[in-house]
Amino acid sequence: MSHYVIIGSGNAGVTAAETIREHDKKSKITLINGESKRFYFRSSLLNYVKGEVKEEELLARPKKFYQLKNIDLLDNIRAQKIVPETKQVIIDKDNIIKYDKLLIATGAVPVFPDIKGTELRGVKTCRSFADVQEIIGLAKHSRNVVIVGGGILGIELAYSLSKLNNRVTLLESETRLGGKLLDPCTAIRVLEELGKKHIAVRLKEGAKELRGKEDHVSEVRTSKGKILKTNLVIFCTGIRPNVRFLHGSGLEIDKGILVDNTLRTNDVNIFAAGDVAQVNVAEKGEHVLRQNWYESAKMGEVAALNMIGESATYYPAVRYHCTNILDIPYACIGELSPKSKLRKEYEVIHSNCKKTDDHKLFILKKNRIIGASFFGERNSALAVKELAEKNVDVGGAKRSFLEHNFDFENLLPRISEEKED
Amino acid sequence: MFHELLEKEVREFLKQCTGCGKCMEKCPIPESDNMLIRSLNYAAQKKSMPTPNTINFAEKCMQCGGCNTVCPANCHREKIMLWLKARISRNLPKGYKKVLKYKGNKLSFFERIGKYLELRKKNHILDNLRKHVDKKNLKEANLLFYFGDSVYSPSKAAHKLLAIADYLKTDYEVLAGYSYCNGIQHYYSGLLKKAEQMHYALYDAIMKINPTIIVTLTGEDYEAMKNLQRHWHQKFILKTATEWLMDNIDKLKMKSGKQKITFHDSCILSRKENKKNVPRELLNKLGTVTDLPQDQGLCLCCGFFRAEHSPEEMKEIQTKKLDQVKTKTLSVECINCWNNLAPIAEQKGLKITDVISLVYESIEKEIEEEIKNEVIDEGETEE
Repeated sequence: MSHYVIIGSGNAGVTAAETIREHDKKSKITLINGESKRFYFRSSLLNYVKGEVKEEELLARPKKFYQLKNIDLLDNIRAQKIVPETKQVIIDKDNIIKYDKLLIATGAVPVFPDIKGTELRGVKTCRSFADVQEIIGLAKHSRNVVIVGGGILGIELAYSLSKLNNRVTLLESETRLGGKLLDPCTAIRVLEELGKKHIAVRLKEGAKELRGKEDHVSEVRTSKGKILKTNLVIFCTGIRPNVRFLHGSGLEIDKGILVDNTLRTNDVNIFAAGDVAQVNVAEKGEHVLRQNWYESAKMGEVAALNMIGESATYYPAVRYHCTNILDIPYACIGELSPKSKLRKEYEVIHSNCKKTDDHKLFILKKNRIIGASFFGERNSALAVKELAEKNVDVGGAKRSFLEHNFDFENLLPRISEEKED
Repeated sequence: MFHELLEKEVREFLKQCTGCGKCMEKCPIPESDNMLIRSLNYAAQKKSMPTPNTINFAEKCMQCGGCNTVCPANCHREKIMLWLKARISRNLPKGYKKVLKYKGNKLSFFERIGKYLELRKKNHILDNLRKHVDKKNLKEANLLFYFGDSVYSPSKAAHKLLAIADYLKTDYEVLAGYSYCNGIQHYYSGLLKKAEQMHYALYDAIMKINPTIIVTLTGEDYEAMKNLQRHWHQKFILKTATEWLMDNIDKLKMKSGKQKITFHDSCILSRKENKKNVPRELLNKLGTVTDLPQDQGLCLCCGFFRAEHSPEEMKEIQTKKLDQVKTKTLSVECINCWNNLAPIAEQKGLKITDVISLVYESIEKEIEEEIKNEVIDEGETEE
């Protein structure tokens, strides 16, 4: 009987615990939860801000789940250090947990840009349940809110807060919204939609300095020198893997924990999964981060199978991201902004974003789909994702991609071989 | 095959679900208000039986697919529910035991034995359904009308469609009746194995006919044909009856009218297959079309998939739907919608027609004349 220890009870951690228990009924599983709230749907936090979801509904597993599955859950405890030589996780002086197999699924923490005044009260990030609760509390007492960072989180948070009767200003230092996850046409459409909802967007403008009165933020100075009066500033400027406590442990770390395709670190008994893992891609010769709800669950499952001695592999093949932006369905698949050096190799097919309501974009390389995005109607997103995953040659049909109702499922290889009776 | 495919899909969807609860807000079933996403997901994941609450909800799900239209993560909640249904149906008593449970107590001893033997025979046929389906009289044809059991519909849409096809002087073959059932209703009730057997039987029949175009009347027929296309990579072109009529619109001398028509969308054709424009285009040639007010024409289900199981509740949902119709005529594309909505519409004094009947009515005289001419022609040659 071995002892599995999982640090972090997010999507990857809990999925891993679940998978281990499915295959191994007897072993001891310890799950270390760093937050006060048990595993919840992180992606639904913004719906919680809007008031569409109650706190009760945020929990992602039934209340009796941990008891039923016989998982020892340690709430509100953070691991301070791990010692691979003696197979120990150190919580504090008195509490040391010994493991046989360890999974690190500590997720990611938000980053602040390096500017003055981020320590003031009223300066927040939006990542955990605690953050969101504080934001709701602060938003009640502030008319003007400044959100720094125009990624999908920034856009959605701006929309949620504007629904709570706040006047929101969105700062984005790039020339367009959405970063890598939105294609240029969609970014323009989103910008228009934000304008309709009376959310001020300032492009090519970042926050340069925060000033405060009595330790509370009162104004933001932007990089263009404009001063915005506010008493709530929220940074949505990205996340980084939560690996600080691992320094000095001997694990290989770049941005995240470096793992191979079985999600094993350089220590045989230690695995990593979720936002914290940086997975090897042999073709590119580098390790990549895949910070996404769906990928986390996938990684958790693969890591768990390898921990109990079965073999499974995880390949960060095709990125798939589906969400609603300002209540309009959006899906993006694969790479949307390939490196400009190689632009000649790519073929881009896209609908006229001014004419149609539904925007579609496909990026092809050697007649194979490597990227696509759908804004509005996205019925065929799953089929296109499968086409990209299976690397299907679509050269014959690419001319009709933009047709209304084009059937992508027809291009997929046949599911079953013909059977003769 | 259906079982494995569904399991694979559902496992992916469960990982993608972000728990926002929008699907339950959209769900037309009253019980959805109290359902928690976490318990539904957990029930779909675990191997033991779900709680009575969840079972009750799963049994009531009518697979309308409205949940998918609002999901931010593009999950198909209806497929997760179908997976639950399939799991539940596996644990229900089967065959003889099922009959005993539902009807058994009232039967006498000899009747029970008779029932038992009858079921034994039935099961034997069902296991080898492929061999029992009659394929002798089928001939090869370019155009195939696949009607399934919609041919029994009192709307007579199938007959009218064939009359139009005769009028256009096309050569065709028809596949219809219970023996060529599409199995979709079984599929959506979670009886995946039965659906699979029907799928295979249908595959054999279609292989014999070897058509280039298949025309269907209902959303379910369309989906069954689509499954054939997907699973076996059949090369035929699949069309709904309205699409086929649109192709031949030049040959039909339709008269435009002034009538106002409310159009009810089919869950499979309009929502899953995104074909909501074709019937509207056709209807616009006959009169003016209005949508039902609920979310841009993508309204509630007609109740086809669950109507047998909870008739009272379905009636409530259907009445709610028909209350919104402001015109005298309600038109549907899918014949199963017609079958389900017709009794309620009659009570309300609403005229309910399908698109094919409307087209047929507008060219009825010409078709009749054509038939008369033919009779005369034949008479002359005989002399």
